Amino acid sequence: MIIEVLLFAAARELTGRDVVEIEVAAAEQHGERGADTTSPCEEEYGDTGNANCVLVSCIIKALTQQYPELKQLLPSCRIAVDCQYVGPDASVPLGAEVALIPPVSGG
Amino acid sequence: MSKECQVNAMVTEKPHLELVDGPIQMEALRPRIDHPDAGAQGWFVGVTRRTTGDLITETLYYEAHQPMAKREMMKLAQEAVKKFSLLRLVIVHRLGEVPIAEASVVIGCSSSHRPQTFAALEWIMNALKKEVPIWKREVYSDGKEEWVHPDANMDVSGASE
Repeated sequence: MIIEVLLFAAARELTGRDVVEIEVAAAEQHGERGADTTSPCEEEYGDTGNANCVLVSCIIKALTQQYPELKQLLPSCRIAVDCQYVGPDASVPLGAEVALIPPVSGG
Repeated sequence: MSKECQVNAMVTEKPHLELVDGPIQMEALRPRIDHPDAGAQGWFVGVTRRTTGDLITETLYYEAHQPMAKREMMKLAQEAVKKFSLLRLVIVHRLGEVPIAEASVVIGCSSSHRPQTFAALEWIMNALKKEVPIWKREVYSDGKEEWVHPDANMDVSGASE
């Protein structure tokens, strides 16, 4: 599925965009499409899972592959879903707002 | 004063939080931390500093994930009120350009005794710098510009406060 990711600060500047679309496979899509899928995340899914969810770790992986200019910054970034920080194991429901949060420097 | 009135006077108002685009109006904020049971009021004002090591800062710009920043600010504000028994709390962060010597962040709080106020200001400021999705961009006098991303494995440095 296509996931939109909001970008800020250096991430926005490195890509030249404040929002990017990435292709991330959901579990059932992978099962149905088999070898057709080119998702970088396919090996992380088994035969079970929710077609309407993707893992945060898969979003990060997809960002690394589809936007290599972010590669250096990504390891220090956090992901926020609907304005809340989430860990790599969290699953992101379809339609949720996903944001890439580089190390913050307010104050 | 009836017992009921006394109890009402102790009820803490919701923390006052703002993200603003222009200069922070300190005078307007001042009465917001007044409370009849407060024995201490304290303010922290973070301002744009000109020097970071050998680098001279020309100006700073801030940007935020605004809805999330407000949410994170409310989260840490509520935690601080509880942790330090604050009677009033104000947090204002400025976005956009913040020239040298002008305030980028203002935190004000009141408490019954001074130790809570002193401790709260430092705790809130540290939490804000760790959790609230706001970023600063340094513009140096030599023309170089960079986003400040502490801990990032990038060519960025020079966090100011």
